[in-house]
Amino acid sequence: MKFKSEFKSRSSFILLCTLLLCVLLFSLIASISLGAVGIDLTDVWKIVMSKTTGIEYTEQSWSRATENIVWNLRMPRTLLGVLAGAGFALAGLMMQALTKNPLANPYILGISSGATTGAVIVIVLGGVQILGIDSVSMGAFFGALFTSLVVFFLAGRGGSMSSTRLVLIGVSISALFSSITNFIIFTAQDQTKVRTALFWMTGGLSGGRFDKLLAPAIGVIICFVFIIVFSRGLNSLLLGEDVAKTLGVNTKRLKNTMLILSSVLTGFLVSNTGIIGFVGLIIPHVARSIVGPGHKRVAILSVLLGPILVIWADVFARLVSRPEEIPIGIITSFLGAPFFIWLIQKNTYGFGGHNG
Amino acid sequence: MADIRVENLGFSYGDKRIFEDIDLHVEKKQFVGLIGPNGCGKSTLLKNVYRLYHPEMGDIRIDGKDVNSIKHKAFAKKMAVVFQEGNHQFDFSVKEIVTMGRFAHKKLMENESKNDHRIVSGAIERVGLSGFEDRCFLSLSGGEKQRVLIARALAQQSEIIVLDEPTNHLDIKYQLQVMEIIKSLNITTFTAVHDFNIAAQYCDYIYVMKDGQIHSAGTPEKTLTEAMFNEVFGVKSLIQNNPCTKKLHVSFFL
Repeated sequence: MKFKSEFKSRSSFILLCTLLLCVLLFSLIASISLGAVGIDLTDVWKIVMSKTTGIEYTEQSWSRATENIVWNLRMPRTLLGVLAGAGFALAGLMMQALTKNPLANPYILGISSGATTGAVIVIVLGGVQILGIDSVSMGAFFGALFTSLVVFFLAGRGGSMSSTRLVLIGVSISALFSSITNFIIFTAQDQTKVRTALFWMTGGLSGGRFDKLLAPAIGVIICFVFIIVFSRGLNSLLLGEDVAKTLGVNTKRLKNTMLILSSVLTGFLVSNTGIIGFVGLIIPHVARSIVGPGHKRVAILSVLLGPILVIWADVFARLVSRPEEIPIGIITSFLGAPFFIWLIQKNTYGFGGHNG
Repeated sequence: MADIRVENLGFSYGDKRIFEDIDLHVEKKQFVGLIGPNGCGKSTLLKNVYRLYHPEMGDIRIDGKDVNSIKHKAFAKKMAVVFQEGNHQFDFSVKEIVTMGRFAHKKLMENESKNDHRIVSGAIERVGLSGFEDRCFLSLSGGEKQRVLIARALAQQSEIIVLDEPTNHLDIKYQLQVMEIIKSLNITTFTAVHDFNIAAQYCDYIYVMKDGQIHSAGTPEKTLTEAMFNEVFGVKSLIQNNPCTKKLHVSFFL
């Protein structure tokens, strides 16, 4: 006989969220201070405070170079980490509700392989700047969007779009695009381009710049608000589309909206960070194991947990073999996989809930 | 209260015609049963009625309104459905599942009111699951799960309830209990029934389906006959009166 987890009551949930918010803020500051050049935590705090609130500190204990590293390099990088963590987690959450499959993640519909193919084509052909946006990101974004639309179209043909059909077609399209990518890489002549492509495929936050944060930020906010507003409908969708329909949910509209939102969000993120594995799969599960499957709480917890994971993974990526930087996807998968296995092994946790 | 009127209904699965020319009427507050052998199309017919399938020809009207013209939430307020749900892997508590029955009554961001909580607890109590509110749905037995789904339909407070083989997995005690609960709601009920004695005991009116057609219709006394069982189900039967319930009792042999 199993009862729901301890975080059921409203007050304990709020306490948990406050705690995680503190951890997240600390992670932000810590992540900015750690790196190839170590910077004092209080300096980081003062620089961030003076930049954001306009407070002038009379005794500046830091150099202009430090300020530059903190504000122009590490700050946007860390913020991109926050957005990537929150965004991939939310996209994963939506994909899981959409496909009713707890193993779904932002890449299930072939989005990752589409994005990769797009990016790799641009890398190998030689990237240029178009309207100030670098063309690799553009390639990734359109690659992601294109594949998810193809999958959407193929899965919807001939009657209703079942979840199984969606996943199966997603997997096939994914395999198709992976083979195209591999073909391009193997036949590429220029070794540095191959290395760039491989780095891109495992993801990283080094592309984070303030002017690039807007699109992912808007995407994350819209998706978060969407999940909170439609949480009831999403919850009933987990019981099955038929059930949700008989309860009064306009499932077709809900699913289509969710598909578009999660594809665009993933496109925005992937075009900035490359493929960061495991976050979208693991974070919603961790959140569910703590607060149960209700979407409102899972979404709130996901946007707190996702960033914490990605920020620390990025810190490791920067520190493990400094001054060389390793791709963040290696870290998230390396930490994520064993943790996920442990989570599944715990006998209280069956996919998305508690087994009897 | 609402009534259901089905006229000239036809439905095919690809090239395979499942049924055609179906006419039936479920009157206000009537308890109507649908019986027939496996594969006769009764579940498909019900799925047309509760809008999972779109009819190919003919129409289905609730209070004279074409069902497929009614908005999602409005439809859910008219009709609650209990059917065999596929296994899902996401675990909700009993209370959360039953609360989902209130979906159609809530605006987008509106929180559950005291009244909603009262309705949900009342529904859970009515199916005999008080004390199970915080239990995990996936940890329940088949019969308990089925009763939770019935509680959810009750929480929906609709004018019609449609049951697609609702009591298949239940112990006999709960089969009878579920039927008693639904009968006591005194709302328009349209249900597929597997057990003819249950049909005889609770239904006001019965439609018998065979090979995608309505074979016969009428009160239990009129429809549950030895001739019908022989023709439709291919079995011999003995029909008696049950002195306790004063209803028909059917037993079968080959």
